[in-house]
Amino acid sequence: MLRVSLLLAIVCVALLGLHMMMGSSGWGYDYLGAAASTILFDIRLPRALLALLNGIALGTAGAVLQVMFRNPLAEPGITGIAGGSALTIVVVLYSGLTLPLSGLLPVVGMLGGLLSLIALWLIAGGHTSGLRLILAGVAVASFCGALLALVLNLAPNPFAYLEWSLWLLGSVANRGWEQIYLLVPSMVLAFGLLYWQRNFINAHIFDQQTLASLGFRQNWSAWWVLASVTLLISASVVTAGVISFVGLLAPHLARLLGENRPPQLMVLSGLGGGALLLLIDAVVKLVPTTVELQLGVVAAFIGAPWLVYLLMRQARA
Amino acid sequence: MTLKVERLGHSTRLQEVSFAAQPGELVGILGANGAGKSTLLQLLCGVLEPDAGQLTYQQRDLSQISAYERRQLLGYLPQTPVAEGGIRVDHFLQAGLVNLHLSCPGKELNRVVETLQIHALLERTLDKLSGGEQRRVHIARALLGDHNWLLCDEPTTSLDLYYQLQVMAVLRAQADRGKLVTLALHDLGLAARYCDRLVLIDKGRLLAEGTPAAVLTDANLAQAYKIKARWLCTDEGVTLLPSLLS
Repeated sequence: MLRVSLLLAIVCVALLGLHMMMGSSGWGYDYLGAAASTILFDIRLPRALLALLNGIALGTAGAVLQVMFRNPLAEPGITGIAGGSALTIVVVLYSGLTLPLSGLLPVVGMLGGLLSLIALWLIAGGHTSGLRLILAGVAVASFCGALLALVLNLAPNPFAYLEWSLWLLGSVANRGWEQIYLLVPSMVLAFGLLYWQRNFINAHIFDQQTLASLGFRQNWSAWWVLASVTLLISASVVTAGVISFVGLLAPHLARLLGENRPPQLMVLSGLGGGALLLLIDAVVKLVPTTVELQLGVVAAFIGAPWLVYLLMRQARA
Repeated sequence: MTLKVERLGHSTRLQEVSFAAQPGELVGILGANGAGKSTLLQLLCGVLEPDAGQLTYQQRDLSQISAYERRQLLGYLPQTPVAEGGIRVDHFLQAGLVNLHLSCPGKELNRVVETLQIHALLERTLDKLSGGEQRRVHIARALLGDHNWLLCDEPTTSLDLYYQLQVMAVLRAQADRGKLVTLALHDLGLAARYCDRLVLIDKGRLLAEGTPAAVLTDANLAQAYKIKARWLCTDEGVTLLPSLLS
């Protein structure tokens, strides 16, 4: 597993380098001239790092959700956590309660994500495996989506409407170090909490009854794990909007590499998510469109067929 | 008595069940499907909380101890454990050491692998094992920690005759080492042959409790299972041959 993780880390670094070489005017650094330093370190590096870190956050969050819910279809978007997070962030910003780059935003988003999680739990009736969770997630995500649409619909300023709409589609373009500074502390805190609860997460390879006999304060531990996941997701939403499907694809890519143990799956899924989002953003940069594509759009083009494939495979099983 | 169960109840599934057991005893919990055997085991190991009654183990009220303390006291095998399929058996067993804080975890793993003879399964994933092989792996997981109290819900399910006898011999050996073993069983022959004490439950209520000879009477079997049974005495010990009531 260590070898595969190292290999994936090297792939991430290589992709980061490649990503930094790509610009709107072509490849490489030579043509940049005197502005090279500014372009590389203030524009390209933050963008590439943001893609990598968001991918790591979403990939890890997806793996933890799949392990905790014992459901291979669980992911930030489908469970409605990302939607709840986005809704509270939009409402808070819209109402002027906080500034766009406030350190409070990830916490606010986390609260919205947790509310979605509670709603999901209540609608699914405590059943976290199978299609019931997914249907409940679709209900929560749709409701959050409808509320978001309502908020946007009532926006007095058409430019604000357009800006919010594009943000919701997910993007790491036109971002700077401010977003990185916002994302990193949340990720450090969330990963610290997940590391603290690693034994509890790992024990989810056992059935519920065995798990109940292994000496954990289950509700307490589950709360911390899910709070960490929602913090990861909300920090991602704050800095890059709603990027769907990366949290679904990354854990499955990790499983394709032959890893099913939860802690190892989380590491591989995080690294895989980082590599995946760097690749997706590279596609966004490469596709010659008049208006740059949003990350969420390209991710959904890849993720939606993958979800259909997984659903069909689960139905066959 | 090490274990004292007094007027234990849980919703409508179990009512006013009382019995006692001590170290070195193999206690079989018997009853027809749906009688409440698994509910009783789940209450004993703390997976379920009782609505009524009291559970005392080594003079301690089990409802007052934490999940972590309970983990140090007992090992539990559920009736139908389902594990994440793609996990290798050795990784599965390593994960089963959680919260035990053993000084030599490798030695403990070797002990259970040796006891259940599952060396050949270690590098295979759980989803590639047969039902019986999976069962042996789950029993090995429950044995980790060498607890003084072992609770097994139908440990012989899915096992062929060889492994049924092997598992019962392993559990008997645990009891002979001074541990308390509580297990739900359907096989009356195995219960009669291996258990020191039986607890017979019928429709959530205690029907009889005591030695196999005292519990497995014609009247009790007819009421609990709607069967009759003939006792057979062989050189290997006593057993029971059940048949339908005519």
